Amino acid sequence: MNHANMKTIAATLLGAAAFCTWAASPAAGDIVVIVNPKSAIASVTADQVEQIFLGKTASLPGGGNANPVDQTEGSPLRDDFYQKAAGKTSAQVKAIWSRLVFSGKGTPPKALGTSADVKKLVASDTNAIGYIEKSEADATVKVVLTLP
Amino acid sequence: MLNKSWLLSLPLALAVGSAWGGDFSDMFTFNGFGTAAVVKTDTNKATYVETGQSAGSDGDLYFKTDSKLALQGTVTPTAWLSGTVQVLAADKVNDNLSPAIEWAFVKFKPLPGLSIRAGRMALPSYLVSDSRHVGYANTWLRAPDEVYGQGVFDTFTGADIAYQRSIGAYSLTFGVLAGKTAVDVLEARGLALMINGRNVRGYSVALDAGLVTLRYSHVTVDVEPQLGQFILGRAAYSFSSIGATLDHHNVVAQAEFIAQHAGATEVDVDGWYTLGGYRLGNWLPYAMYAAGQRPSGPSANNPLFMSTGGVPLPSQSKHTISVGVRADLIKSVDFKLQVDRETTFPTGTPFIDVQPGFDDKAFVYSFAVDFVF
Repeated sequence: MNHANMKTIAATLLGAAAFCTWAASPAAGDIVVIVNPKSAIASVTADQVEQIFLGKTASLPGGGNANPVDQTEGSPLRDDFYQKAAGKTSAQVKAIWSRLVFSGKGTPPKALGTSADVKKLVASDTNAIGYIEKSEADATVKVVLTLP
Repeated sequence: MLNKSWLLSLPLALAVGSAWGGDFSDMFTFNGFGTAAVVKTDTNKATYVETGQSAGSDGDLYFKTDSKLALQGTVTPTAWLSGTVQVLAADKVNDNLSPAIEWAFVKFKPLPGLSIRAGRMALPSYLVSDSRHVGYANTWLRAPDEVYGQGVFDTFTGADIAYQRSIGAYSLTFGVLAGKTAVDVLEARGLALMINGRNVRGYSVALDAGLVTLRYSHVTVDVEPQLGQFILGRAAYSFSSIGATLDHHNVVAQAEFIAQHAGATEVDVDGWYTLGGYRLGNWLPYAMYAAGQRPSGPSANNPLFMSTGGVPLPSQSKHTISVGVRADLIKSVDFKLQVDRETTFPTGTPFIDVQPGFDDKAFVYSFAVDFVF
């Protein structure tokens, strides 16, 4: 490949990027952070949720290994959650996790496709912590924080 | 140069895909990162290189300065045990992008917050030593050479222990390490000049206070430069780093100071930088200033020279003013443009093959595409 070609490719990439816009996530309703009903945790703060979901701690408030459960990357609920809990865009979250993943310090939370899947996992694991739409919450899980 | 075109096409292919790595099962994960970049200077009277590199831009577009590709595989048979291998192809020495095993380690997590690793790992000399090659994880296009080009060793073989503890909204991490290391300085005509590092010891303390993170680390090594079979000398080597990052709403800032001492030379090696940026939606314009000094010479940062007696070496200093912008327009891909004004005194790194009439200053223009998958 000659230099002129590389210049063209670079220009094309930048051009493609500039025209590629991402729709802002629609203003969703309240999001609730949920744990297993048997968990000793009564409530958590947004700071604690941020620490767990951004890999700053591997422990639950009050002890025990945290098993965070995420929603699928790119879903409006997920983008909304990280904006409300941590004030971060999905790109910032990805950059933070890439730092941890490629230094061998951590693995991002497992991501599940639907809130029903998240509820199901949280209902079966006393160390799990997840988030769903407030309207999806029911007696199978315990709400420990509401993010308006 | 045909063989390099695939690196440029990768980010586009990856932008189309959406998954974070491959998740073959709960036990195996597969990830990667890379950078496709071009660099161009405004002078044909010198060649611009990063420390360790032997070729670069002499006024024309050059591909290998910052381009790299890494693949990482992790196997997690149980919650408390994992194994990680990372293979990185980057031009670190001898103008060569051939892949090499960067790390390979086993990690145990016997208790919450405690992890023990054994194998080959990044030597945590810097604020971002273990993710400095991950363009996507950093604001800058390239780590400032005034700081990140100063350390002699990038990796070590041995073990480390990290303990992380949350105190309210804060998180504290303590680390200690021990092992050995070695680095190739030069390979020519069948003769290899390398630097062996014995008795690698180090510790680090990091505080994550949400908006601000602070980190201090100190590493000591007994170094032995070796040419072929011959050990050329011995020297004590130490490297300290203190750094801080701030990430608050739209404001991003980062600063770091490093100091290195080796052998009997009376010339200090030190460097610092400060970076500030402001997020405007998906765009992050930033500015950076970096300055550093080290002994001058063809292999200026080489303990070979530091261990050969008490002769004070002349000092070379360098500073760089940079402005750039990072754009996060596509998922898992960023685009960066950076312009550096490099100044050295006297002539030295980052300039090699210097022609008469070069005034020790140059503009360096860089464009990079970083990606993770």
